Amino acid sequence: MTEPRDESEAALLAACRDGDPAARRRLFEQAAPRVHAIASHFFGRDPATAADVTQEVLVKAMSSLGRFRGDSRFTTWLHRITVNACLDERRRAARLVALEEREAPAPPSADEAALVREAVTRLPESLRIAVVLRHFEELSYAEMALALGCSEGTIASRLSRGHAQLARELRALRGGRQ
Amino acid sequence: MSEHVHDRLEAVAEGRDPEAAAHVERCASCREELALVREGRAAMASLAAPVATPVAWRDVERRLARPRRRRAALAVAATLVVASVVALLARSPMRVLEGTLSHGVATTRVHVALGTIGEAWADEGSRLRVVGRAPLTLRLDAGSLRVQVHAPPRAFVVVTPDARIVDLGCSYELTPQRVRVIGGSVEVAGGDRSVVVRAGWSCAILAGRGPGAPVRVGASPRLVAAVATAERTGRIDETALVAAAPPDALTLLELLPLLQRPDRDAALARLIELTRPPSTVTYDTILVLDSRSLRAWREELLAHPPTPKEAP
Repeated sequence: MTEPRDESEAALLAACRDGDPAARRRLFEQAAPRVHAIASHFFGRDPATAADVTQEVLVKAMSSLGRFRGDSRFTTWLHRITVNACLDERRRAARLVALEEREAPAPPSADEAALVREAVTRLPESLRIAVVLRHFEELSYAEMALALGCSEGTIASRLSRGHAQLARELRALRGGRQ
Repeated sequence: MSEHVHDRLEAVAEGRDPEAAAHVERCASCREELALVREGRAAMASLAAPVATPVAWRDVERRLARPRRRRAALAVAATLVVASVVALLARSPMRVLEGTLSHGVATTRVHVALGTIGEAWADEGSRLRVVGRAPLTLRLDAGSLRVQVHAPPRAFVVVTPDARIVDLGCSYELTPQRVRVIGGSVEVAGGDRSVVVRAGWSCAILAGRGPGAPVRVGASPRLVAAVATAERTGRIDETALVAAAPPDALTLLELLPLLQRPDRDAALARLIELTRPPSTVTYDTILVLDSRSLRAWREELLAHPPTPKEAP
């Protein structure tokens, strides 16, 4: 699937490939908040890992610009790298956990935003990624399907189930608070 | 049709699927599910995106500038570390270490039971991993750790990015930048040096260079500030040396290898004013940082710490 590309995006990428330091910095400034938004909601309780993954993704993306063929928008490519990095880090951490890890139930919190963030971290990974990409990156179903490597129908299903599950988790958390 | 519509409720909530919406009108189960979808969407819409990105351009730029060969070597090294830890854990049929990590917001500290040899508490957000079992070795990459060990010396080790902290029977607090000893003592090694830090003393851990010079809790703030500057620059404010008292002799001794000359000469002169060196040690061997002389004087100062009024 080929998507229309922004002329300014193409010019910026070309300047980056030519080694223009100002262009590279501008690309970083555009990309970093997007990558961090996804990573920080994926690793909700672990901001250090979110920061590590953000840096890894940015280094990987900026050092691999030559391999970006332009078949999709740069942001779609970036999202795909970010999602893969999040999932890889989760799998790697799961292999390395040596201390038994038991998560304590979420404590009561007066902060509604904290409750929502906690509910997001409780979603299964596939639903969490879909919900986060939809809300913080405002991607279309087609862009999400590209980023996640699945069909648009699967995206629709994951969003429906993700939002419904999120509401259930929130209700459970609010119930625990009362 | 109900299950199929459940997959289309997102589109219904966005007003993009009139056919499914018509079904929802007639189906109580789908209406209930749609209400949940709308509630979840509203919750997400209320959530602001994180504003600050904790990754600086200069860090990314520095990594991009690294030669490819070195990056490849680091990747291989990282893989080996991962593989060795996995192998280590897989080899051990019995868990030596049992811990509990609690992530709740109300829990400000994480408690880790270190088998039978002690316990530790890590601040929430600390990055902690087991990297060895004989001796039991944890790696602390970020955050802080408080350790209480009841075991023979050298049975418990914590490694940080820049140092290796070996327990000599004690309790201590540790961040990747500083160790503060509460009881007993620890050995801090890194770079090409190693120091012993006793109860009531703390020691900076210098990026890429290992331990700094231990300083005691009661040391003059002027001396403490001068030591911190010297650890960074290799230069010391000679007027601050006057603030050193006899109990600070160990600080000056451990500072010598970090000082450039002639600052090292000045610090050694002050050290000799504060305490007499062992008979096997001469001014000249210390000035050239002879390791045997430094060790002899260190052992003397650790075995017989000078008291405040003890200047020769």
